[in-house]
Amino acid sequence: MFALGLYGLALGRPVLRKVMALNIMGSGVFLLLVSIARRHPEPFPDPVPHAMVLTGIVVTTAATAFALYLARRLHHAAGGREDGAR
Amino acid sequence: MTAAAAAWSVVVPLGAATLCFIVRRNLWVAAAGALGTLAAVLALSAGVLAGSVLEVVPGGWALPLGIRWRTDGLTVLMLLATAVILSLTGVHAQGYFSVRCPAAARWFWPLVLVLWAGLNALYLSRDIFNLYVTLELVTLAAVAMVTLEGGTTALRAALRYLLAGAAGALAYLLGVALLYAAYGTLDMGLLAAAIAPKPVAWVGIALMTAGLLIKAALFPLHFWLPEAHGNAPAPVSALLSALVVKAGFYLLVRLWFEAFPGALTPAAGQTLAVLGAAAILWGSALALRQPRLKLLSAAACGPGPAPARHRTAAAGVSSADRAGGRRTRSWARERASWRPARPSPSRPRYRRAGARGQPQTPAARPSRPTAPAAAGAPSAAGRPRPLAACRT
Repeated sequence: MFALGLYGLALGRPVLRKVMALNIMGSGVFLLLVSIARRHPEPFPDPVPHAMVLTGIVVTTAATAFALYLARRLHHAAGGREDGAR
Repeated sequence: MTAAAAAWSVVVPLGAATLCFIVRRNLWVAAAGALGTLAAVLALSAGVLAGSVLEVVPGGWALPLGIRWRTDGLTVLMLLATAVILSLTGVHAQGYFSVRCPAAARWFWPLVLVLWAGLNALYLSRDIFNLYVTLELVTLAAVAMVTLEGGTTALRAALRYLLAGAAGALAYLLGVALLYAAYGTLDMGLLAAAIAPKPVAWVGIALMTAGLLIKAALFPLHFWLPEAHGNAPAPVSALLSALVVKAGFYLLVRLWFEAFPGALTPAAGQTLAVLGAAAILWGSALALRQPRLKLLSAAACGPGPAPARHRTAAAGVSSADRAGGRRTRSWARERASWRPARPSPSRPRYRRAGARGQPQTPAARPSRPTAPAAAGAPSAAGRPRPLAACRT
């Protein structure tokens, strides 16, 4: 998933595709972290990777929100939407 | 006392930044926060220089669950250098923004304080996941500062920086995840004891290094750097080149020497050395072709670690901007006369809604200073040019 996202980020032409590719990369990393947490033969999952995933989600969401805002601003600067709505 | 100073050096700028976001006229809040942070950093450095190394575990959690903060010689060096650079840049920025765009100054102070907090935490921390958090804090603050310019090229450069920085951080996080999966610890000291030259360690190290290489803009992952530096306000360029890029490089040094030695072979170290040498050659060749002073220093920053050259280049950019029309180079003369030296695209310039809707061609631009501008920008040559955010 990480590699797929990286490919999309590097080669995606529309900015929105790059942001989604970034999120796919993040999801790949988070899934790996969650899968690390469960080990045999311990009965309970390890909470540290869960904490890492939560922090990672928060950080990635903040970065995504910022990127979307910048993309929207650039879109308006370049001429606005096709249907005329701002 | 000095143990608390380590925590204060991160908490004070963060608290001051929060206040700065809320308060409208935040210059004095920012100055107070900066002084407090400076005091904490000096207290910490004095304590460490007088005695030995200082270790702090915030929260009192014992390892391997806790996060370890440690102050040694390298940390003190980076803390002091950062404090000096940020203080001096803040003083310069006050004058810079008051002339060009006072509205942008309101957002510059909290961002600078957040950057300072993130950098202090980055230098202190010895936990690789905590370093991810601080790295992202620094990147987000730096990206936000690049957008202070307000023009379309600046926003585009900021977006590129943001995407590259977030991708680098995710690569770093993936490396952290792999190392944790293999060795069950996030602390650098414990990791150094447990790590072994196995493929999982190599992949983890490679990923973390790749992420940090993007942050440090080391060749060949430096594609985001020239536009971001060239389109940011001068104090922001200085901070970016002097601090943010160096933070990535500092982390590389810290990780490779403290956490990874057990897993490395001589060939791995030589790979980084080759990349660094290629970066210097490439960046110098590129810098010789730049028409604008700021882009020149940005291209010179492209290769990465050469601290003395960067600091002088950054200081040169800031002082050149401050000196106004007193430069002797040809592109500086052109800049003082309101025409950009490089060929600009014929795309319509970014305008706020409600202003004149016609796209400005480059030929029409020299007549702009004489138009009645709402920002009150005078038409005399030599007066500093306002930022795009305040220009309409």
